[in-house]
Amino acid sequence: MIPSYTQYDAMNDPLLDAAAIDLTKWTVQLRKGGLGLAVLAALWPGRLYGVEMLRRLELGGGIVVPEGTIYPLMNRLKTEGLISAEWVESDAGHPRKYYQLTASGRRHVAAMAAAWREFSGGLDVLLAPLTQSEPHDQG
Amino acid sequence: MTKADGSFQLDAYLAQLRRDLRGLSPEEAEETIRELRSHVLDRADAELSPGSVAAALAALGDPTALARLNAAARTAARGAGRRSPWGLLGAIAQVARISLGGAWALLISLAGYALAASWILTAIAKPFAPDHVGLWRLSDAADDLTFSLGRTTNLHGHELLGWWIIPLGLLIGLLIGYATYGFGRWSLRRLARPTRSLPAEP
Repeated sequence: MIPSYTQYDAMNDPLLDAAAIDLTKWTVQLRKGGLGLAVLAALWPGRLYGVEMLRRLELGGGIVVPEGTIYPLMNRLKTEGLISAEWVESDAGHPRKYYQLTASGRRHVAAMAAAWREFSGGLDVLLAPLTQSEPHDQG
Repeated sequence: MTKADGSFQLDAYLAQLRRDLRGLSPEEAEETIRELRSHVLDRADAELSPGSVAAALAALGDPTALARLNAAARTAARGAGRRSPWGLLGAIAQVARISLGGAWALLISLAGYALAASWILTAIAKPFAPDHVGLWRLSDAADDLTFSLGRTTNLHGHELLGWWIIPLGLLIGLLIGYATYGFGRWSLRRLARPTRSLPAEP
């Protein structure tokens, strides 16, 4: 007979539910934190307009940004002097607003990228054992 | 269904958005409308079929919510660049008219500045009314402890700091004021980030 204290449904374990919620929050925070860098990095090769930016983020970085939030985000980066914007007539028949890095923005994103690589490099070393083997039994 | 139907849908959406873009200057509101119009024209097909326009508008979401998001984020981004406490407080008050987060930030900022002013004014007033101004511990009939900062007429109160209220009051008041100023800048930077609805999964 199985002792009663082992007879619980893991799927309904409130502790596991709380852990899953925390993981979701953590993932959201992680993605938010990296979004500014991702947007600036997407502009490194050259200027982009809004829809191009969304496609670049999604196809290049697997980052899906709610469409309505991209313009306030670009406006904030513009207010901070990291990017500039200009309206350009396009072949599509309507003007498009193109965004590009300013000199300050290029320096800023280069510094952000260096900090990110340093951080992720250190983290990769710590995470490497997780992908190489199962944890040893400590008991 | 014709191209005119798609254009009509888009115009109706943008008209609703324009009505809800409160707090922005006419130039900022016009720029926001222009950006979103261009966005929908890029997303929809060349014929502006009603189906493609509807899909593009659905991806943008409810126009009222989108207008509030844009207005709050733009107002906060503009205000975050201000340096003076008054300018910062004014910017927070503007955001407070548009978003709940802004209203909380305004409430906390006002409380912080009021507390800072109380300490500083008490310190300044102490030399002019030394027997009535200070930090007091008051006991009522139920023997509950109450603290009072500033002027009091309660003769049963016990003054806690004496003349130390002058340097300590100035120091504490300035520290609380500076912390409130920092909170205001942090709040505006946070409110300027329109990414609170980012999904967890791509």
